[in-house]
Amino acid sequence: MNILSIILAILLAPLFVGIVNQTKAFFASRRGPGLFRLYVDIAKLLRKSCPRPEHSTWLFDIAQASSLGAVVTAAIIFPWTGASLFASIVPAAFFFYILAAGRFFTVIGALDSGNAFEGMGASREIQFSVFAEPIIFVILGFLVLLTKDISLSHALLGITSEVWKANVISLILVFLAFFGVFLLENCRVPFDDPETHLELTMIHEAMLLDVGGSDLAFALYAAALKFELLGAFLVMMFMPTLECGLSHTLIIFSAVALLSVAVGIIESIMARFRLLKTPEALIGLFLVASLAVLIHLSF
Amino acid sequence: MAVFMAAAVHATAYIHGEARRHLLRFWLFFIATALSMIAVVYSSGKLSFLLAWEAMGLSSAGLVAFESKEKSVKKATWIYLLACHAGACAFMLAGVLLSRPEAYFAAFACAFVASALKIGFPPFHSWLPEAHPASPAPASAIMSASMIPLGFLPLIKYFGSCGFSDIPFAPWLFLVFGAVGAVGGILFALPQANIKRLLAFSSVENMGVVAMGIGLSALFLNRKVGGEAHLLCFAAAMAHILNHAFLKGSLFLAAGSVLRQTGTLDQDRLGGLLRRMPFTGSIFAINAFALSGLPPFNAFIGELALYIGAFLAIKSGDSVLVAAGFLVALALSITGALAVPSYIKAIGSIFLGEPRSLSAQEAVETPKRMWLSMLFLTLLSIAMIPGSVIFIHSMTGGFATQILMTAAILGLVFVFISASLIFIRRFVCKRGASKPRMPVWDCGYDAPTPRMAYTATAFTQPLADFFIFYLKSRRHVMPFKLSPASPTDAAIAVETDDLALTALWRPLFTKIARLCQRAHLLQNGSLHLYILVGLVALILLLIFALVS
Amino acid sequence: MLTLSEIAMALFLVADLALAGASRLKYAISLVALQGWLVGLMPLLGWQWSLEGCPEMRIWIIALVNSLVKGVSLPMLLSYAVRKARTRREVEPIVSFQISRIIVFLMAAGGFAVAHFLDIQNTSASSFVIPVAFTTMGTGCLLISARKKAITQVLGFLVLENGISLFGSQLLIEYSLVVELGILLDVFALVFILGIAIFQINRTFASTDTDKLNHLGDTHLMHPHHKHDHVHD
Repeated sequence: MNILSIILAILLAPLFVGIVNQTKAFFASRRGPGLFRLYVDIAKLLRKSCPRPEHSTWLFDIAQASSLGAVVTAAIIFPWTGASLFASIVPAAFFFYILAAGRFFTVIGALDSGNAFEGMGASREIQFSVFAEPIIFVILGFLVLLTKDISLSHALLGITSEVWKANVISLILVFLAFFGVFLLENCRVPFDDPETHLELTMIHEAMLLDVGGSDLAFALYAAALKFELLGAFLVMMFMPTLECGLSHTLIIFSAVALLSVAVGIIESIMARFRLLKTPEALIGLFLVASLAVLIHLSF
Repeated sequence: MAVFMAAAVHATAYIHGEARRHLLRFWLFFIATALSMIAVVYSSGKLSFLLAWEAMGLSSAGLVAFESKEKSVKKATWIYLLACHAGACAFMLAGVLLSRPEAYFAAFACAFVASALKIGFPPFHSWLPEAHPASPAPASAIMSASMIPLGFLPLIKYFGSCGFSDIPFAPWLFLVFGAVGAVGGILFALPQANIKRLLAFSSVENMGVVAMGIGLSALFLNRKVGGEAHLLCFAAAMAHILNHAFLKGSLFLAAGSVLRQTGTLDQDRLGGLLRRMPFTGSIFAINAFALSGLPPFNAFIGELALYIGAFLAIKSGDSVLVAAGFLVALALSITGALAVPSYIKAIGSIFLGEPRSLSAQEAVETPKRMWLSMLFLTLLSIAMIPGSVIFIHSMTGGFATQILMTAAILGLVFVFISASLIFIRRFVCKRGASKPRMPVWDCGYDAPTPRMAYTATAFTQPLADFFIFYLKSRRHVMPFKLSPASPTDAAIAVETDDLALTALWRPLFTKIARLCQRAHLLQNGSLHLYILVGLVALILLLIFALVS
Repeated sequence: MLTLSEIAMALFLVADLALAGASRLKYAISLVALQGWLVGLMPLLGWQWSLEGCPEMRIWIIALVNSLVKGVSLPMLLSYAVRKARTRREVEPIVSFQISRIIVFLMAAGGFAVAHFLDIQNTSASSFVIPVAFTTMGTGCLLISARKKAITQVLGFLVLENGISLFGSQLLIEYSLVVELGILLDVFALVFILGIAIFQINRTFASTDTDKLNHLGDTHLMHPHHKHDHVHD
């Protein structure tokens, strides 16, 4: 059951990116690339050779594979069915640290290419993550406070409808903050635009300029899986607990699909933040999350 | 001890050329430092402890002063000696005060200051970023890896027996200094161009993490809740000391190797060394990755244990502990988040990309024993992945072992999955084995040069600019001048000085010096004045005696 | 026990934080309008429908007039003033946006701490009122004192007033129609006059930067060479 849900999660990941793109196409009155475009892309890229920059080293060769490895590990931990072998043991902090390890490799790979654009993208990606991390850990502390348990599965499943009733305000604020983190970590508008074609405005894409072939397939797939993972984290955190099992997994996936539609709508109606404004917005989110903790503590 | 052995082997190759003439002096101080550190650990009485402490300071100062021909080294030695002696004085005071029970608080405060001077809590850390770049790499390695953590020893030894529970503010002292040290230390490490200064500031950060662990453990004891959580926090702190020792030791040695092969520590002038020094570079990259506190490595296990402690504190519901738990979790997350760019910057700008100067271009791999010594430490670090789990298990008696073990295993899973993905790419994908070299994407520009690559300063610029109110970096901009006779190159240099040194110690000491200068007026050789001063002192003493 | 009014007050807090960090005048004005709507509808949101039945006419009138004035007409007036004054559309801070936001956050934290110790459980009002109202008043003061443009000072005054009436709407359950409408009229007149004044000042001096308006004060008469500075601005 468990393994089945993990396999399902791993297989479905590119679909959600397709949903986002399709929603955007709908709003722009275009036909869109189709829901399964990313599957086709990945299949095509896997058949190609991997070009390397002239001066790269072994770090470049392992970077994309390792960063995908980190995300897959996180997917294995994640309690898709509501319960999981690992999630009831490891704290939620581990989940985010393994994702951070994945980012480390992406950034190192970017620097190894020696390309100025990639260095710039790496610098920006890392800068934003510095502001995102404290938000995540305030939220994790808040979850521990609410659920009185430190494990990942309790953080995700502990918010029952009773908890919701007692803490609506804090939970809404935390939801806002985590939604911001979700958009940032997945490099979506308003923090980064996955569709920009100008190197100077790219962030995540800039780090992949010199990546090609199956390495690029790995990178694209890692991004899709991360989107699905953090989206599932978001919806599970705020969904009142249901019975465990495969039906739970399916509910999560449909919720993530709805979330993808929401992301698509946001990207259609919102412009991207100015680069210098992003840290300010993130500090605002951090304050919102801390406010939630404060409100919870005072009442 | 292992760090010592490795450092010694490394030192045999490090000292070369001109410096060989002073070899005897180096080894003398090196062995003296080692012996005095052992003495500090095993000394039983207060007096013998003090002697050993002072000997440790003096002998290591000899190591710092090894390349004493340069002016900066002399200055660093002075600062280091000053810090050592101030610490020793404070310890003496603490020892005297300790004998009087009513002065227990004062004794603790003195001892804390003394230890802070060794550990490097801000603002007492100022000697670290001065002494480390000045001293030879093996000396920095042992100082950072083994000597700094010894600063915790007297506090635990003489005050820890009562669990700090007599002193209600002591845990908070550790927590606040730890949090400020961790976040402030790594924040200052971030923009440093000199790799050894970066590592020195990162030591401040790691000691801050250790202090938070000790403080949280003391607070758990103090509030008498949480069961064995206090043991977990303490064990996490100790494990982190060990892990930091191995990792930082080999990082300093690697920095020494880079200096030996290229003659510079300036990250903006290095680059591309991983191709030229593959062993040193790989070892540096692994250690830097581990010290960023990321899974699957050993430093992560220690930090995870501390996270568990912080979350347990939040879980306990005790309002003081909740506040402390949030403080620790927040400080740890910010530290972790800032450590990643600091070390990525170090790896990226020294070893990756293309060389930015001639000396970096011509660098070759070091003699075998230099990188072998670092490899030894790295293997120890890898052994410390299960080692940390076992260590924490043995100190806590099974509390939270399951979590840490799972984390370690999942780390292994991570490595396994990554490896199998590489395997899949190599052997399963149709053309995965062919990896043609291509020129990098340059957006249509025709003649890319290494100078166009992102430098270390550029990489950290957005973050450094954001925290400028704290870092107080200075920018030296030389704008491009378009004069037909002599167009000059545009240049920019960013310098980040130690805030504690420039904003606290330097003005403080200047003022004291000025005061002393005034006092000097009294000593003008006139007998009448001396008699007058003596009389005034006598009368004042009389009044003081009468009043009290 | 959670009520609609508490959710509204949480929104209020978020709006305070956003206001402190708002860099565009239009955005700030719409935030103030949101607050106006919330504070106007507060009597209806706080009404316990199941217990008290349908509220009487008086309360409907107050809610309607209040939200129309504070949520629609005043913001429209202000946007009109901004458009007409042809100033730059940005809020010019004296205290940076980051610091302002942190100040507001600290005020909220302080407010919650005070409310925690004050213990107003015996009154019927929600325990949220005190911190939220104080934070809002503080945000108003911050906007008045730490922003350069005259128009932001009017905005700040409105926010301050919102905080006060939030206090009033929750703590004084006895509404008096006359008093409420009287206060509203005062605010309306004041904002109206200020709006027109800004427009006029702008037409005369081509600037509404309060730094420069300082030169109009008596103190500068002592320095005759400064006297005509503003005319040339």
